[in-house]
Amino acid sequence: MVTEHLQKRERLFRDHRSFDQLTQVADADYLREQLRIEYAGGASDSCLLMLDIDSFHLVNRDFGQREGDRVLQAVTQVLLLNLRSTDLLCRYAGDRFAVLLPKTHPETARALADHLRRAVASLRHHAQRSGTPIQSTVRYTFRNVDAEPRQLLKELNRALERRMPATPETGEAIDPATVRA
Amino acid sequence: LTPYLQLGDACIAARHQPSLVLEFARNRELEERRVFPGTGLDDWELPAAGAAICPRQYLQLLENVAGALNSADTSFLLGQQLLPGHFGAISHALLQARSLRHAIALLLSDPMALSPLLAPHFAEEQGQAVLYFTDSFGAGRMRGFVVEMQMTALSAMCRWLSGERLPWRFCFNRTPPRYTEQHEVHLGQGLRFHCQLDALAIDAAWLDRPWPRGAGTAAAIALRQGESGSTRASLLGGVYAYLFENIRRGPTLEQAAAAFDVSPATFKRHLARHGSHFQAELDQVRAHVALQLMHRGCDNDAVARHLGYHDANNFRRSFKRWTGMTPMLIRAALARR
Repeated sequence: MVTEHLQKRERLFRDHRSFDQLTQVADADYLREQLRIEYAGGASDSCLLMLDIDSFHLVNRDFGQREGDRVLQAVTQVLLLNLRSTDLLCRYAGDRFAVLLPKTHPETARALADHLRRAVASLRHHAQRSGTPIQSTVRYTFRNVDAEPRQLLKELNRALERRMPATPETGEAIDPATVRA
Repeated sequence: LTPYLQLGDACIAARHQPSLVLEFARNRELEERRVFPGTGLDDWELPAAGAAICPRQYLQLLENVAGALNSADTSFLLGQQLLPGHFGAISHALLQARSLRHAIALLLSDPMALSPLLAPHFAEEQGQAVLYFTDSFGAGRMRGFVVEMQMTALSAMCRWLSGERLPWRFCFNRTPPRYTEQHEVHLGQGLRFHCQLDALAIDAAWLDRPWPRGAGTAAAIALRQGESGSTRASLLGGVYAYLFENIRRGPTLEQAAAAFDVSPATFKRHLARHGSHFQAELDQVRAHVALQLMHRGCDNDAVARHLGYHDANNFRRSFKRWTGMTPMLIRAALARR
């Protein structure tokens, strides 16, 4: 169990400078490095999934950043526990996570992403001071690792940010550009 | 120069931004010896009501905290907590701001409480609203940090009070950092570097959309001057305003010193203390004015004439010196907007 956990955090190589201090998963530097390796290998059959916690800033406002940090740690654990041992979880920045899914068909990626969404939704974190339950939902977007890392990350970040809210059923962030009237 | 605030004047209420920075440092369990040196503060408790520190000490506090954490997200996390703050009437007024326009008016009314290190300026034209910042006291090597912090403070507050993430464009007067994930997640995708201004820009249509918490009259009452902190301007802010006002006359060091009632030597010395000099201040204002005119659609000849150049070629050369870019490149950048 512990080894598996470690695998999901570290994947191929272990550079301890590339770890996020708060959540102890890989950071954006490590992610970019892995994406470069993946993209350089040509004809990648991997997917990159990005998730963002809905209205996370309200947790910080209502409960303080310390509590916000604990929510991030809890969400990290939920994600780790629901990933396969070959997947790589990264904290991109703030409340945004990225998951590299090696050798994964987009349909499988979608199913996995939806499973993660449900797993996070079922988490009930309790605020340390007041005991108030804090529930989180995530929205996500994903695509094949078929572009140069910088471009790929830019597109996924854009898609996550468009202001259309996630569909309540699937949580997949909708890119208005792809929605037909 | 006495009416103007300078780097060593105790003009930042310790209970305002500094106490929020202390709270942040304490929550992260930083050691006292890393946080306090050179800040005029020496314990974690809420500072006394009348206590104030000078800009130099506040900058040192930020530098201490940034150095102790050594993390790329410190400026953004700190910024998230700064506004509307707990600064008495002005914070209360912000909480009830009716609209973005109203919030910006409040910001401009009390910069020493809400944005003590960067002077906010507001311009609205051609359907664009631009809130830009100039250095109030010479932030030096902390400039980038302070800009990130203040921009995050504003955009996070607006997001909270308006109930949605506003489509700001964030312009940075700097080269892009190697990677921008912190900017992307904490501010948004609308990032521009190599700009001549540190600015937040937005379509003017957003200015007057009503905000859900807005409570008109109470907030209007709180918008009286002198409710909190100092209403005096910083010296650099005063110089900026003077030059902006007189730019068409091609102000000289001697004229400016006279307007501030000091000798040129004294004037120079005070600017030097803020890490600046007269030519740098003048060039900054000229660049800002030129940008504003170009934004309005003026051609090079018109801008050159406005700034007192007889020859557009001379203007082009000067513009390149002020901004590192030719007017043509700037126009192209403006058009890309």
